[in-house]
Amino acid sequence: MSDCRSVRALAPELALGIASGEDRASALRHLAGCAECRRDVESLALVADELLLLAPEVDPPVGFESRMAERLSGAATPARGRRWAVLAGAAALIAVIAGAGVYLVTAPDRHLADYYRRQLASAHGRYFVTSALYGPGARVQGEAFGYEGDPSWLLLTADRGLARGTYRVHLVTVTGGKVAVGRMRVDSGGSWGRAIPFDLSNVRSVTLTSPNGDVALEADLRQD
Amino acid sequence: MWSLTDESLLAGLASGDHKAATAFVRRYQGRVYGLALTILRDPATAEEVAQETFLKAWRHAAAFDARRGSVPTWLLSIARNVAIDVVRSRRQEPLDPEALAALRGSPTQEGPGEERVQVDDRERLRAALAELPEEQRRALVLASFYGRSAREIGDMEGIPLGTAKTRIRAGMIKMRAALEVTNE
Repeated sequence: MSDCRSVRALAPELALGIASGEDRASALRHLAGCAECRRDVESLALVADELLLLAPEVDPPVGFESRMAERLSGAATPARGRRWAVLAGAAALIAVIAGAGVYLVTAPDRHLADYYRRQLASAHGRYFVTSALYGPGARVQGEAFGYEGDPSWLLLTADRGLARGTYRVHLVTVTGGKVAVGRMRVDSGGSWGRAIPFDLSNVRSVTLTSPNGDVALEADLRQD
Repeated sequence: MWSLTDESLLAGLASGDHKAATAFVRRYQGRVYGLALTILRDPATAEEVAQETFLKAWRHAAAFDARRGSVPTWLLSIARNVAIDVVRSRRQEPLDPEALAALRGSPTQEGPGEERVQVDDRERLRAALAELPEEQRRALVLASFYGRSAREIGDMEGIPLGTAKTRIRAGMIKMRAALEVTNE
């Protein structure tokens, strides 16, 4: 599904979060590069959200507040002073469509990443992993988001500072194999999203190779 | 606490402020529990879902992105997803005709911290939902409240997949048009 017409037809289901994994993955590929279709899905996602407001308000059973206060006092304090990734544009929309909601975090801090990975794990064994894309000198020049599902997919975003050009994207598997999965166009930043040919749990890292052949960026996607 | 905006309360939550958390629960418990009850039809389960929702909000408050929508819709999306997980794991028959009627029925009241413009949006949505053909309304409710896919809706309603998709699409586009008219 690579054209606007098919993605627009699917847009209501994407916005409602009910599209099949396969449909979602191919739509995401298109959405990563088409702002107009993203706007279409986004406007429908707002409708989907607003529909929930139509449910009548009902007071919960007596004592709910105190039971809640008790549970919250026992709950771990939300992480403070951490840098939270507020995703913009393609990344935010795509993450929501993938079902990860707003539970996203940039994770050079592996403990935090692990905490959220456990929080995100659902009955279907899906999880979401994020990692910084490191360039030369260990400078963060982008982000990688991986989603384990049917199928798994990967979203990459590059910052403005990255040199312009078409980068080759490779996955490095846990057994050391290197698999080409496409090309990413960078011009004052960029984004790339695609379903990947195997489970995210088999991926060790993702690399972006610049046009002249140097390995430009790498993100560690290991689950440990 | 009572006059604080939704975003301020959420910011309080994000910084671990228990007073803000209490005010937050008080402000939204009716909405969250109401949605859970609409989806699950069982008070005990609905309460569990409501509690789980507030716990998640507590943990993830710092990740709220105001560009993606309002605090109530963020919170209700969490509630909806938690409730849908329960519905799926219990395999219960989700669509109670009473639930459908409830979505059309109750008068809209301004909640604390809610602006008049939000209430007007809800009124327009409610009116637009009421005006949809019955089969489109059912498809939309099954999709948005119960997280049913087009295929599942087709199976439940005894219609082909294509018809289910068309009903969902037509319903959503009409609802979007109803909201857009007010946002110009």
